[in-house]
Amino acid sequence: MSNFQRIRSVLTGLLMIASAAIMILQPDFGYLLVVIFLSVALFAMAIRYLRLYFRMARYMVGGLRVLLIGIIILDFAIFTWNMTNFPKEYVLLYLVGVNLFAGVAEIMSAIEARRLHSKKWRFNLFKGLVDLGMVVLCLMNYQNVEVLTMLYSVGLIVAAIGRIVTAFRRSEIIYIP
Amino acid sequence: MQKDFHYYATYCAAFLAGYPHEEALEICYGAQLADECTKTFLKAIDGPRSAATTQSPGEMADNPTDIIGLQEITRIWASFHFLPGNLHAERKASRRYLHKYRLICHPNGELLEPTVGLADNLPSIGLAMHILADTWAHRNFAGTPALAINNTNYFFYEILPDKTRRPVHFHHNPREKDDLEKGSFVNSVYQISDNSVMNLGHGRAGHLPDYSCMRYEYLPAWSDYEVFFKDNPNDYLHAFAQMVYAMECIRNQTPFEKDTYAWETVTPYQSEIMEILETRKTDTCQEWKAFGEKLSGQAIEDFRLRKYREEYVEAETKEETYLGKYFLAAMKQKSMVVNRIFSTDNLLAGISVEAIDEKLRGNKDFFALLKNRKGGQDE
Repeated sequence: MSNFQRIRSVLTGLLMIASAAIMILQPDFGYLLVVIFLSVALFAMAIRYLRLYFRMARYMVGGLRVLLIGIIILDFAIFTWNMTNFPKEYVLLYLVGVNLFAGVAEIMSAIEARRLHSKKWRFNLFKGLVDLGMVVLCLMNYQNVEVLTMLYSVGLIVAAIGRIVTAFRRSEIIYIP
Repeated sequence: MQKDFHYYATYCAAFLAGYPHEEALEICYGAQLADECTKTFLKAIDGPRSAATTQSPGEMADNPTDIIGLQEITRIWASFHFLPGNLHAERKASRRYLHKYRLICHPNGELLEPTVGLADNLPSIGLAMHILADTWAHRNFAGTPALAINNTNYFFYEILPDKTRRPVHFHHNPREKDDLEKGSFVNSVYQISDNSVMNLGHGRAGHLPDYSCMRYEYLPAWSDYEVFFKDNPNDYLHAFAQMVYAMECIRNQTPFEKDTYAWETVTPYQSEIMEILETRKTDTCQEWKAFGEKLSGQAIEDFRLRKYREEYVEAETKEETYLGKYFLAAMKQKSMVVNRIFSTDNLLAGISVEAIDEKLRGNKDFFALLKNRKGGQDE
């Protein structure tokens, strides 16, 4: 990881923690932040795909697919940003969907990593179980908006800590004579 | 390519090039070791980690895909398994794309002659033969993660021996074996992330490039929708003939020229070799072994990774052991390839610096290489 990437990861992580803290301390304001976060996350993803298309995939067989996915995600991002009356079911669906997918993917990745004798499998399994735990908590509290916001904030803090830890991971630069 | 070609076929090529049985065994051991010499192996024998010539699936899973991780992957895979064919290739594209495009592996590329030129002892000849042979099997793919270069799509057909076309069915379950009869093969998962390790080398085409009997047509991601027909038996035959020629050059100390083949030596055996290459099996070790034993009249021992391990671990001057020479050869090759890539303003394989006086900036593993250069053994 380059120094720029490290700084960017740490700053993003700190921003995420600060936002999560605001959401916990100011639940009324929390919803708005959830919308902003969802929108910004989707927007960033769309930019990543569009960037991939214009820098790489447009020269590639079947690269138009990357452009179309980028445009669809961008559309979702703009749609989310413009939602004034944000229904709580949306938050619930988002939390359940994202965490369920991430949990299953992490557990499958842990199984695969263990098969390959990778050292990562325990961390992947832990992350998968945390994600699935979040799904259960969301479903148990689907009518309580404050708890949902709280759960979203906790998820945000966990992701932020992951980013910061990754940013400080040691990496070796090899100069070859 | 797999053990059948890198070990047994390389033995046959070395023997035909004039090396006696024992030396041919040392050469083919070096050729196969390129697929086994991981950081995990080096750690176990306390060897220089920078001499790794491959990565195990576990190491790849642990390898981050930031720029440093990408450089680590590219150094290994471009140097030893996907030797770039044309580092000065031009194409109207973004700079980022061009850097990856230039790493596409092709036979008879500009780095082939320097690669063979670095071979000056039996372990290093084995290593060079691995790299040379892989340029034929792995052509059209780059030794760096690149969706835009290495991807394949639904247009993938096998040309069966009766000349009919059959769609290749790819799946992603690594526990299932490839089934040549059903035309069902494992490949890596499609990932819309250019730098995902799933997009490294021929992962998206499964092991089809590694099977000598396969003939297929497909659309390389970089080909502007031009269908490419890959004729593995023919390519593998060329790889064999070029290996024989390269080893004849090394043995006779004559200059190696690319696009030259030892057809005179190989032609008397061509029908036998083609029969092995076209055998519809995923592993033709038995066939190559039988052919090699018929050639030399000697038994060819099976590949054992531990063969030279004790000698290396117990040696005081490790540079004189088989593995010591091999590791030095691997670092020379890595250094040469990184320097060449870096000289085209491409940082994908790492940063190359001239050694300042006798001081080395960077990894201490390369002290051995510097010492070797100082002794005048390397240009």
